[in-house]
Amino acid sequence: MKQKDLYNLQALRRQPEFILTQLQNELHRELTIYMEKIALSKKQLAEKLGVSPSYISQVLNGNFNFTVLKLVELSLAIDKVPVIRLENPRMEKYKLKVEN
Amino acid sequence: MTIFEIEYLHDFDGIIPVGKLIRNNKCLMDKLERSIQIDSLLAREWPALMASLSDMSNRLSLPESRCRKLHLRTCPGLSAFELKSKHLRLYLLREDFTGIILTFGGRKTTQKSDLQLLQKTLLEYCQFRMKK
Repeated sequence: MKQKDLYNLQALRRQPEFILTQLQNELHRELTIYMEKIALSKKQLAEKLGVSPSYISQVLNGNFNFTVLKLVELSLAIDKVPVIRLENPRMEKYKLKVEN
Repeated sequence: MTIFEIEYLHDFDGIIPVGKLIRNNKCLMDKLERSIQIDSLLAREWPALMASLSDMSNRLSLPESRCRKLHLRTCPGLSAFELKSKHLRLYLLREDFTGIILTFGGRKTTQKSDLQLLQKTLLEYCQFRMKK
């Protein structure tokens, strides 16, 4: 990795690890909010989803790296719909802000 | 006397500004940055740390496995955190009105000595702030 790219968000957003980590962090937040909202423990949520408590722990620890189907199932189970859209990294929102 | 400065990273366009800590004209992040450039394993993990840093600068919560608050001796308005990936650790400060300050980083294997260095740096920074 080049020195100039170490903190360059435009370059970092093209790295799989960057995208995966932000997705995992997002899942962690949504699952935490859902569990707090309806006061569910990890064990209760695991039972509701028909998965093991360790699976829930993995997601809460930001280690979700399963199939797209699992992502869809988990999202639906917490009253969310995942929206996956493939965007051009050269779009305005991914461009660097240039300051005067 | 130890002098500290913050070199802001303008690419991080989140709500909270992000900068690097410069101690007596020397950036403490330099060592880790050099390691990342020569070690492909660390280079693969670096974007994951930056993803969490980007979330943090947007005031988004992170799993404790990715970011933990460190219980070190500090001064009011200043807290220390550790960002984690599998092999890398990045130590940062969160200061009211200044933002997120990257101090330095290291490998998981050097965590103990790195935390001692962080405590020393943190106290030096507190002293510098009080004198300002």
